[in-house]
Amino acid sequence: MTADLPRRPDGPFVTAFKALLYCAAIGLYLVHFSSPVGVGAAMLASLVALGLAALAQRSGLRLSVSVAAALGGVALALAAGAWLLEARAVPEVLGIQRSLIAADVLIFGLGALSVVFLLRRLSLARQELSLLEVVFVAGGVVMLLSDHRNRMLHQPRFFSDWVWALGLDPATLLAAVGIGLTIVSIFLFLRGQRLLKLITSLVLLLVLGGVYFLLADIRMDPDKPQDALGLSGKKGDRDKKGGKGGKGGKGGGGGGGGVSDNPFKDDYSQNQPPTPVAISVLRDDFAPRNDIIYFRQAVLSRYNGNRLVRAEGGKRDLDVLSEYPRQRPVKGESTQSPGDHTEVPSTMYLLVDHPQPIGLGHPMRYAPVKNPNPQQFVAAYDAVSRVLSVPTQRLLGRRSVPRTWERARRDHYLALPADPRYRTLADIIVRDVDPRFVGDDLARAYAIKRFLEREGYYTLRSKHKSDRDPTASFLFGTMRGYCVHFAHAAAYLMRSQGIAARVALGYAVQTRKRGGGSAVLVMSDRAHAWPEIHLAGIGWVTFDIYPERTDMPPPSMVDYDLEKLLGELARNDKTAGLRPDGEPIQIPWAFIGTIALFNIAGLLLLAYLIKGYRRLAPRLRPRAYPRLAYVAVLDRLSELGAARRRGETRERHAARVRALSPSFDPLTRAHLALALGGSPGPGVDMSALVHAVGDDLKQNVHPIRRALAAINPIGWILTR
Amino acid sequence: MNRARTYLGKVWRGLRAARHYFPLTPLGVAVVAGGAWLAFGYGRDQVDRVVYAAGLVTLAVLAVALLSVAAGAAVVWLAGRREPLAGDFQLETGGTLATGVRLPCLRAWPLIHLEVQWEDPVDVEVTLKRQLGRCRELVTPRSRGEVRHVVRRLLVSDIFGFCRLGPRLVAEQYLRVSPPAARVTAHVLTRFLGGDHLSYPGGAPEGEMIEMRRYVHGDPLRHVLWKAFARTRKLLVRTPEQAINPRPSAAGYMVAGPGDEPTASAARFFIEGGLLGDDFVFSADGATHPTGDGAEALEQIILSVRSRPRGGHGLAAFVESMDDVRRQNCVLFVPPTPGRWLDRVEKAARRLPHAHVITAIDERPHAAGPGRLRRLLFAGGQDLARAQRRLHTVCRRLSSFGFEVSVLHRPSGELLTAAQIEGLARERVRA
Repeated sequence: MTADLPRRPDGPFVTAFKALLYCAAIGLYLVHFSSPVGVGAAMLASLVALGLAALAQRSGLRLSVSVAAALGGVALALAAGAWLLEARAVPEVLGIQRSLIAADVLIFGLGALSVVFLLRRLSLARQELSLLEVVFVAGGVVMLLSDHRNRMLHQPRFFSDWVWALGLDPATLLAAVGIGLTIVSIFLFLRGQRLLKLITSLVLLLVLGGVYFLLADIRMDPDKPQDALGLSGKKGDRDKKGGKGGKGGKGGGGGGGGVSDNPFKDDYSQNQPPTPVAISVLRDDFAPRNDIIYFRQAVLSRYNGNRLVRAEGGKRDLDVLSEYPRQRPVKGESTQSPGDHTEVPSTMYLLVDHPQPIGLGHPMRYAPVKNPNPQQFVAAYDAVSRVLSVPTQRLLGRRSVPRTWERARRDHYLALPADPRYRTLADIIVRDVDPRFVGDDLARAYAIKRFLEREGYYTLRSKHKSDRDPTASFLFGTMRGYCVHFAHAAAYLMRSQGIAARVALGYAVQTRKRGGGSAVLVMSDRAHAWPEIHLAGIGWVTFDIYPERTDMPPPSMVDYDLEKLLGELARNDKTAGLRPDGEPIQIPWAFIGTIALFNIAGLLLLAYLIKGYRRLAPRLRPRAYPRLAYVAVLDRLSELGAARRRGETRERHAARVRALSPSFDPLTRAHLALALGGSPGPGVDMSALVHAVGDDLKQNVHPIRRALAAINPIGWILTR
Repeated sequence: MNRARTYLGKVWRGLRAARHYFPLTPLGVAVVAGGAWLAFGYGRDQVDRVVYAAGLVTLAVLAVALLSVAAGAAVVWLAGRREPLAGDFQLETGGTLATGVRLPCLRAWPLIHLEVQWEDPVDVEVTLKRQLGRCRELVTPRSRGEVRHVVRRLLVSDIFGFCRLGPRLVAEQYLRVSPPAARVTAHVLTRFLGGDHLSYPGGAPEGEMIEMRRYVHGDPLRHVLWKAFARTRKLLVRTPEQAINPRPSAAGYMVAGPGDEPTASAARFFIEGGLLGDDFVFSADGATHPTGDGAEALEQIILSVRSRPRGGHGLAAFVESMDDVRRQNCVLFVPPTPGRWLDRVEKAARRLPHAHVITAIDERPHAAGPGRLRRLLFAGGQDLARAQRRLHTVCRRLSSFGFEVSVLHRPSGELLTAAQIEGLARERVRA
């Protein structure tokens, strides 16, 4: 229909800029894979490819042919490289090292040539396909820094160590890298624009990036729970009850509520790599008896006809703290006997939102503390917990349900499904209890625990959620399930035997899989559910099930470096332990700024001096007045943006600026006549013409524009 | 079926017009989707701070580009409305005209790029030339025509191609674009004019080979007078005796069709150059009646552009209105591309036994065409070969109707020889 305007080809600046981006991207991609020679060859090849792509576009080489050639080049690179490595003759002739270098050069050089040629050719053919270029260039940086994903604050080491040592937060710099990368990559979409447009656009985008950097939340609060049991995440997003208090700053967040998601899941998967969710700094020596540290968040004790849920109404589970300490400490009902428990003080630092606070063992009291690093921690609070200090066997002989419990309370903790199979199975299990302990609640609970450990099979691939009673489906079916199934099954079986039991949700960290420091890193994959039983005079006792059979690999080691780094951050070390004195490296910004300022001022002064001299030169050197006066006029025109263009004759230039200064035309003719050895003509006064040009400019140019021209220090550079 | 097609056509045109008011280009939509996915999908899921920031900044850049484009479009549109968009313009195809429209260049505006397109008339190339801070509109029409309203599309886009808005500007401007008269070399002119007398251009060779004229490219060598050449060093050829009756009562008809601009130029040359004689009758597609006036004939040629889809529809009536003498002496100007007009010409052919058909082209057909390998690897060569094959089809069909066909190469003013026309169908035509 309408004629499409031909796009201007990329200018030298844009071309050089794009070539630089490609070289940098190639270098970043290959820095871990190739020798320096291979990287150099690839970068050189990418430059050649840019030229070839432009040539192919100009000559009208078909796109399909270009694509085929590029793919052929990749195949050739791989085949030739493989041959070079496999063939015996080559190493014999070149030697092993040179053969490897030659293979590098061939594979990466030819590969880069093909890939860059393809991308550039596609981009030149259609602007939409520049997206591929952008993805390629940005991908190099993203890949290089991808180790930091999932809150791995200590990765990549080359970046993280340096940034922490400066006392900066890598998250901040990573965000800055993302912003810069976008602004730079986006210029790959450009098609031949004038330099002024590029500069103004770049300035605008940099301002935009700066505003984003200052305003945006770079901590990236996750929308989804980071763990499979749904212990983390924003409370408001899940049960829409209440809200969490202020993040960071002083103390922890606030807000009550709890975990409302159904812990029974069919798609319980841990495909997502584990992320750190909290760090606990122990303030006292503590060594758990069974090498597992439990961090409890919530308990499920009320049977709702289908499964155990959180007790509502504020009458039960009052020992469980469900509120963050905002301004004042929060305390729970004291159910744990002081004589059989040890008090362990700790400080919890949450890295992601949790609807309820988590605490070690049986938390008794939470108190607000100052958040040492609000960019990393969403909440920080002191916790005083009680952990059982006596061996479990010494608890034998105690009743589970104290006589002092009123009926409603007893019913609450003994409620279970109406299914008679629970009772029957539990009866069969406890029949095997040592006759010396028949009737002992703890012994019966232990028998049930052992039964589940012996008969159960721990797997995440279970399908019980759709059943009306998922626990019955698990227990009376294949007995294949995960911690939630085991915990519920144990709780029901124990309740059927008159043992008060409930299910606790939280994290279980194996101390054998971590370093030995006082900071305990809690990862998202450590989310766990376990049963607790009540013993009169003791309180609630953790009674976890450890199935003997499982298809799960052994848990991975806790990243000691990350644990240490977060521990140091929690201890308010800005350098995360990377500087012995804890003080960041001081960069003399003031000195650098002063030097830069002086340099800029010096350059400006020099430019103004040159400008002034060129303006005054006609008066200082009267002999060369015609030439110097003409140059001075040209300077003034350049400052007004009317400089002579490259390849433009003086006459055409004069004709072009006639609207600006009619007198410039005769001045140019006079100057040319003089320059060619003639005379300016009868009655022509160069000085008068120069003044006439000045008058013209005063008359035709807006005063603001003239003022801007007057302060322009570099207009003379454009004079030709 | 036709109604449905019409309806669909209207919907399609409506959608095409509406796209100028939807600010995102397909690339912009892709970038929005990509940025949103990076920020709220992949970046958040992987807790990748670089990707997350990149996604958000991409969206922010797009939002700023959108606002800039909207503001720029408003500024340019308001400035365009304030322009005194009036005036009568007359020029020839390929000529450049300053319309006097001056728009803000938006040169210092970051991110903004301004283009102007003409929607009516079509086939007009518009360039914006900066002058004293504003952009001056220069237009170069590529096709003849006449309009009384000029519809402009002020396309304001961002420099990355994410957003674009195209407000419309309708101006009461009269624009008349006439085809330039074709340039014909002297010896071609000689061929048309024959001897001393003005013969009718379509006149078939008659009588004995007693006439003599200068040799022109394409004449058979056996007609060359070698004795005369030996004596004078001038190549002369024998020609058949032409009817010396100038046959002033020639008739001409312009059949409109695709790619007929060079033919229109040739028709203009024939009329203005007097090759149809003084007492000619001319008509063109879309004309209501034949004319003997040169200016009116040119007007008909210009307006025939509107009848391109129905080329040749007026030929039957024109032939009907002619007397027998003119029918014997008719020149048809036809497009070089086949179409339905060929069927209409065929129908009229029976009543035009001695018509001379003239078509014209701009591409050089006797240039060495690209080889098979080159055509396989490079784009562009195919178009020329296709155009040559089409021209050959036209020539072959017209010859089969009994017409004498001449093909004029407009840029050089030369006529194609019979061998060249025959060679058009071959894959590779060499001089």
